[in-house]
Parts: sequence; C-alpha cells; structure tokens
Amino acid sequence: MAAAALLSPALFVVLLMLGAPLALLLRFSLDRYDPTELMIETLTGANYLRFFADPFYVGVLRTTLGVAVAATALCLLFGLPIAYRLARMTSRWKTACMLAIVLPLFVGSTVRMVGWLILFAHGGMIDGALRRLTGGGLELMYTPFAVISGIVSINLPFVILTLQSTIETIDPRLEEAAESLGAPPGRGFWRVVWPLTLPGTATAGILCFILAMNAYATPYLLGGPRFQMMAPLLYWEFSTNNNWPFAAALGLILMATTLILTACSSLLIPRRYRVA
Amino acid sequence: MTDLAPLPLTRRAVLAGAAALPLAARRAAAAEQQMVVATWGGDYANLLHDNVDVPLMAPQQIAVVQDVGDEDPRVAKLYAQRRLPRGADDVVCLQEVRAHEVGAAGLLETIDAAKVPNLVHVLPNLGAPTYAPHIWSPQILVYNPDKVKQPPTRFADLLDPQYKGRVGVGDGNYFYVMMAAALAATGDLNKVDAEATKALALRLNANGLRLYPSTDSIGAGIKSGEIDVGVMWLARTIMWQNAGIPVQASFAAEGSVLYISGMVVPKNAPNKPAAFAYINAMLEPSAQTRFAERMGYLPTVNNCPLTGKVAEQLALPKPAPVLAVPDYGITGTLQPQIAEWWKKNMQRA
Amino acid sequence: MSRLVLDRLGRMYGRAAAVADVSLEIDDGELLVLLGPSGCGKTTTLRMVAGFVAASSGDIRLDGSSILALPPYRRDMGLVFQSYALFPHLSVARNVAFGLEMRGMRGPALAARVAEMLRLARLEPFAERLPRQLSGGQQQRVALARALAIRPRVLLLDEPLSNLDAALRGEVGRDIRLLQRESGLTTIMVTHDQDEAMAMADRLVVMRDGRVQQVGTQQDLYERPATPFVAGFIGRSTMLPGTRAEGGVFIADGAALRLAGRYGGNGAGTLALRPERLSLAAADAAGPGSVAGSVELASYLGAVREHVVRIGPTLRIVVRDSTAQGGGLLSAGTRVTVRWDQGAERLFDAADAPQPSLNPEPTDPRMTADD
Repeated sequence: MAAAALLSPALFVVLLMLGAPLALLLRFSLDRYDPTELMIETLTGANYLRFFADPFYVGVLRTTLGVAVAATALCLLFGLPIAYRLARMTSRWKTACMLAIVLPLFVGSTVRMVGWLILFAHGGMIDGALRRLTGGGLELMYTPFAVISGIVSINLPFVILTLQSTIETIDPRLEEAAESLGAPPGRGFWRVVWPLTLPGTATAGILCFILAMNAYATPYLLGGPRFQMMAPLLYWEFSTNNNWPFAAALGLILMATTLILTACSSLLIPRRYRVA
Repeated sequence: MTDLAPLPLTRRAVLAGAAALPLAARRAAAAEQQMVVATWGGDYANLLHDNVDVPLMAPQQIAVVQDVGDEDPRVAKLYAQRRLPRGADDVVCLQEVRAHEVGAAGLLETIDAAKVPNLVHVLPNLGAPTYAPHIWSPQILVYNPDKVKQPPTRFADLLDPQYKGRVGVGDGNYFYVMMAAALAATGDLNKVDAEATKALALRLNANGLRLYPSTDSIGAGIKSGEIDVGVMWLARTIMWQNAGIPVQASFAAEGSVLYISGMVVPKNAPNKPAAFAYINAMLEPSAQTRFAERMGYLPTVNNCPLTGKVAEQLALPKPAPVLAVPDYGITGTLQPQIAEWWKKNMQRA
Repeated sequence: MSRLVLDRLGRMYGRAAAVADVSLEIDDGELLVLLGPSGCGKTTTLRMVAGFVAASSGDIRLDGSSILALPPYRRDMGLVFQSYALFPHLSVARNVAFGLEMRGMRGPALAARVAEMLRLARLEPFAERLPRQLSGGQQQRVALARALAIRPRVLLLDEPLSNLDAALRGEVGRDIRLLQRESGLTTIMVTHDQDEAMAMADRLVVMRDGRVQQVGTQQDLYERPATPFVAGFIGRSTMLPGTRAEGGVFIADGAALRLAGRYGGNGAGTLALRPERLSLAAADAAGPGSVAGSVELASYLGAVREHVVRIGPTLRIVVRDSTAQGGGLLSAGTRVTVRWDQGAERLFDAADAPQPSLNPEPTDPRMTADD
C-alpha cells in the first residue's frame, strides 16, 4: 500500500502528460475541418472514414508499415552479431566500442541525415565514385533504399544497446556447456543463446518498429516529396493544410496501428522465454 | 511555399534568434516600447534586423523582437489566437496568398496610407487593403547554359523529351507551378483546377519531373548536373549566380506568375502603432535596396531606383515580360483541393 | 578406456604464468582432484583440458594421441560447471538430451538414453520441469546427468559442490562419487576445499602459483607433505619457522623443541606439527618429541578438545586430542609438556625440501617404503 501511495504522484503526472494530450487528440479527430473556422466542434467519424475509404491514405500507411518492418528486420540482423560481440568482449576495447555505438546518439538525427544526403546525392560520394569507376551513376537519393538505410542507421544503436544488455545477462558458461556437449559455436548459439535473447530481441524490435513507424526527418529528407510516410503526411496536414481534425485522426490511426502490431508481436514469443 | 526557409530549423535561423534576444533585452532597458515580428529565419531575418530593426526602429525607441519560424506555424498561430484579446505578434510576415486567406477569415487589421505614409509609393497590383507587400519576384524558367543550348521560352518547352528526368521544381512551390501551368494551358493563371492545367502538369510529371523538398536543393540539383531546367523565382536565380551555380533565367512567353511576400498586422496585435511604424520602415528605400542586393528580390516601392550590378541582374528584359498577379479571391479557395490533387497525382506517381 | 596425460602443460597470460610445467597422468577410471587456493591455476588447467583455454606450451594426450588441436565440441569431455550452466529455457529432459541431439541421436534411442540418465540421477519426477524450478542439489544432478549422457571419455568437474549448502555437500559428493565409479569414468575435479577433495579423490594434486606442489593419495599428502605449503594446506599443521641445532633440538622463537626423529644437517628450516597427533603431559615429562609451555586457551569441541599452548613469547602450538579418554580441560596458565611421536612432525630445510628421518618409522605400519 505504501508503495502504491508513493507511485501515485508519478502516476498522476504520467496520466496528465500522456493521457490529456491523447484525449484532446481523440476529441479533435472527431471535429470537422473548415477552411476559415479551422475546427468546428462536432462528433463525426468522417476523418477516419476519409482515411480508410481513400486508397491513397491506406497506401501511405502500407508504405510506412513496409519501411518499419524492413528497417526493424535489418536492425535486428545487423544488431545481433554486433551486440553479441560487444557483450562477450572483456578487453579495454569494449569501452571504446560502446562509445563508438553511443556517440551517434549525441548527434541529432537531422544532422546525420545530412551526412546520408552527401553520401547518396547525385554526384555525392557513392554516385560520384561509381561514375568515375564504371561510367554509370547510381541514383540512391529519394529511394526506399535511402529511407530504410537512414532509419536503420538511426535505430541501430538503440537495438544494439538493448540486445547487448540482454546478452550480458546470459552466462557465457552456457555456451561452453553447449560446446562441451558437442555443439559447434554456431549451433550452440542458435540452440542456447538465441532463444534466451528473444525477450531482448522483442524489446529491441518493438523499440525499432515504433521509432521507424514515426520517422519524420528521414523520409522527409531522404525520401523526398514522392516518398510518403505517415509522420510527414500528418505534419503536412497539420501545418500546411491547417486541417487539425484530419491530422489528429492520422495521428491516432498511426498510434493504434503501432500499438496493435506491438501487442501482437509479444504474443509470438513463447511464455517460457519471457523471463529467464 | 517556404521559399525563404528551406529547412524547418536552419542553424543560422537559430543563431539569428538567439542573437536577437540579448540585443532586444539590452534595448528594452532604454526603449519605451517593445514589439514582436514573426518572420522567416536566415538571410531574411538578418536583413530585417540590420536594415529595419536597428537603423530605423531603434531611434524611434521601439525594440524589435524577432519570432523566427516557418510560415505554416505562423498562420496556424494566427488562427489559434484569433479569440484572444491580445495576440503574440505585432507584425507577421506572409506570402500574399496566405495573407489573403487569413484576411478573408477576418483576422487582419486594415493598412492604409494614414497609418503608413510610405504606402503611397507602393507599386500598383502588389498590395491589398490588409497587406503591405515587402518584396517580389517573377517566377521564371531556369536553365543551365552549359548544358542547354536552346533556352526554353515557354512552360510547354519543359515537356521536350530531351529534358526527360532533367526538369526540377520545388515541391513546396506546387501552387506556383500549377499557376504557371494554368497560364500556359488556359491563358489564365487562376484556372489551376482546369482539366487542361492538370493534364499539362501530369504530362510534365510523366516526363520524369523531379520534385525537390526545398528550394535550395533545386540549386544543388543544377550544380551537381542532376537537372538542367526548372521553374524558380528570378530572385533565387540571382542568388545562385552569385554563388557560382551555372544558371540563367528565361521569361516564359505566356507570362510570369509573381511571388509576393509582405507583412500583415493581426487584429489583436498588442502594439499596433509600433506595427504600422515597422511596416512604414520596411518600405523605406534604404531597407528595400539591401533586400534587392542581398537576396535578389525586387523593391515594392517606386522611389527606390536600383544601380550598379544589381540593377543589371534584376533588369527585366525588353520587350517587357507579361507579369501576372493571381486573383487571390479565386486561388485562395482552390488551394486545399489543389494541394490534395498534387499530393495524390503528382507526388505519388 | 581413457588414460589422460598432461605433459609439461603451461599457460601464459602476457608475462605471467597462470599454469607452468604441469605434468600429470590420470589412469582409466581414476578420480583426480586438483586442489589449491584460488588463483593457483587449477581451473585454468581444467579449462585447457576441456579446450576453452589454449595451452601455451606442453601437450595433453588422451589414450596416447594429442587432443590440443581439437575444438571443445570434439573432445568428448563431460563438463560440470560450478554454476551448473543448465540451459534455463529447456526442461530437465531436454537438458539431458542436448548432447545426444548434438550427436545426431533421435527417436526411441534418445528417449531411452535420457530416461536411463534421469533414473540414474533420480530425476525422473522432474523430467519436464525447468531448471529454475529445482533445488540446488537437483540442479547439480541434472548437470551431472547431462554431462554423463554423452558417455564422455573424461569427466571434468569444476567446483561441483561449492554452490551447495554444507548439509547437501556430503550427500551430493557421494552421489557424484558413486555415479563416477559405476561408469568407470576418468575424472578430473577441481576444488579449493580440502575436505571435499579428501572425501572424493583417488589421488590429489596440490597446486600453488600455477605449479604442482605434490601429487599423491590422501595419506601421502597428510603423512608426508612435500612442502610446508602442503603441510599447512592439508590437515592444517602448526608451522614453526626456526633453526635446527645440535642434539636434535629445534629452536623457534627462543623455545627449544626436542625432535622425535633424528635428522642430518643443521641450519634454518620449518617444523610442521599435526595438532591431532600431539598430546599433553606433565610439566616435567621431557624426552624426544617434546616442548614445554603453558596453557593459554582451552576449548571443548565435543569429539575433541583443543588446547592452545604457548611455548615462546609469540609462539603457540595447538594440541587437539580425543575426549574419549575422559579428561577435562586444563585451566589457563597450567605448565605442561607437549609430546609427540615421529609421525606427528615434519621437518623442512631452508629450501622447503622435506628432511627424511634417519630412524625407522615405527608409528605407522601401513606406510609404504617408496617415500
């Protein structure tokens, strides 16, 4: 009871800071947009209907989902070996490697996107080098590849750090036990380490997925105007069109989709792996 | 439509805003009044500060605080604060098309020569009863003279197969591009929703049109050789030339749509006398000249003759090109639907 | 049939030798215990045998052929860890089956072997439980069953009892000993606990600073420790540094101890006395194997009583004898003579080499002549 009492102020603040804007968003999403009056208070599902009835908007949601799933899969694919190496590292290099992974987080994502821009641009590093080598360039800017690369580069540190902290809780003796029982290192990893990383993998994956679903700067800068994802679309509706009710509906649809898929993904993990 | 602020927050804009604050605080001690100007960041804000705020407003004992940001949030703020007795901003910088929209919603104070004496010098057709034009520039066809031997002379020239994948426009300038298409397809720039206009735009899109997220990135596209032709303001062309980008301007035979940027005073501005004084100051020839020199925009007043290199660069060709001003009463109502159409048919092609 | 030979095995970490020049021969079915304080190199030696630590020098041969080049997963060693290292996400049965599955065993053969191991380890009721649902002793048996299931050529036990509470240690230790003996497995066990080592070993190896101090049976180590370290580590002798003088007298801190045996040579050395082989006599009962002193502290410990006798300004020796003969505790300050036979003392010279007695040794008829 005492613990609950201690929790309640924090709970109150969280509810206020999280719940109140959400409630307001929900209320706005049921209003009607008017070019001069902006928002007319009413209770209508028209904004949601407009989204789901229009193949354009559903298509944007599908693109967003596709990018998020691809970025999450790639992040886990690249992140797992790196996180494993890092977790099993004992030398003084570990600090340096950790720092190298954390350091990009100190640079704003927009600034890092400018880096990608230089890399991907027409006549940029990749295109320019290929042009000199083969005569033909490579158009990378404003492609799904550019967007997914950008998101992966931003999310990878989060994924690595999450996975690494999970793997560090796995006793390295387990791998030795597997090996002494006749499992070559790769097989031992899949039979012993991988199942035990599943809870951490799920956390990392969910984190990555949520970040990717809500990516704004990356699709805006690397995807260009023709590559539409939910967050830039939402911002455009909100700021350029001043259509707050529709923007609110877009925000809630994005959030609901993310939440539902996140909840589903946690069901995929067998119960016995959840807490070691 | 964010011609002056290519990115949501450029470093310079932040620095300009940060620099303005201590300065304003220092002034406030001596000054009797304070006012807030909501503006774009970057060069525009710096020029206002150096040529209006300091030399013209400070002597009047008025300290100016800049509220730097994008145009869209500025408009949203005007709407959001409409019911407040005292708004946050005294002067708001807007493109004329947005100013018309806000004015139609009844949020703006009338600006007349009684309050702003310099208004008598303003060129005809540029202003409106609630709008004081500050700078303007015609929209022209740009091309890279190193790559293009025969300059385009009409909007429809951009459909030439030799330009396939080599035409670029700013995605944010979609409404101006559509007005240029309307002028070319129908002879009336207000008919942006005409079938002929949309068909022309779609043909341009089919010719591998490149959409750039910011105006600056078009210049970068020309410089890197990604594109050879495009649609842009004359002012930008001059800035790019000064930056060493190989670019020339060509006025389309059917006419040029005017980009006009200026200032408005919200009805709930806290310090209206200072607001009118500010608008009067920005129309002074000394301030107007600097915007022409530094940013390539044309003065909106008739008592500001340009001289030297800038006069050459900004000289309109002979015979005089057709300059077309939109009827904002018509285009303002079409903007939302064109925005939607552009998003679905031009962007997602 | 597995005979394991470690031949001048060494392991360097930078310039420091964790293990140096270790040569051992472990016979088929023998349980050899590596005993020593932490950092003595016993665990490194075990891990070199298992293949997790590469040897810097020397060789390891199993039945005559070197296994150094083999990776751990091809060495056929059953390894039991101090922490058990059971796979937490697999049931007891799946843990036991793991090594068999890695060997490609499937279906009824696998099930039969797993069932057999579970029965041997008395784990049948827990087959479907997860390791975290078992007690420490049960987990230990799972670890053992898992290691034995693959019919390893050598069984390696790394501090197998140290995570168990004292009450369980004896029981689980006996279990291990029985399973090991039944399966006739060549076994190396590592421990720092001498009681555990004495209870389970066929032979013991005492290690210190990466080197072997002595190899032998329990009796060898107890009766004839090769170094003062072994004498102190096995059976907790009282160690008296001092000087050998004429007439069979050992001078330590001003006290004169008359030795029970006869030794050649003089000079500095160390005398080790076994507390449980000393006895107390009247103050005037001098003779070979005696020293005079006064009782400082007396404790009654049930089966034995313990007197701390002060023989010099800073020197004390402990006398521990059975309470079976009756006899209460002597009060502090009582003048006594501590007496002993030749078998209670062990004399080392300045180089820590044991000094043989020139007397025939009458006290222990079981002693062999090869000392």
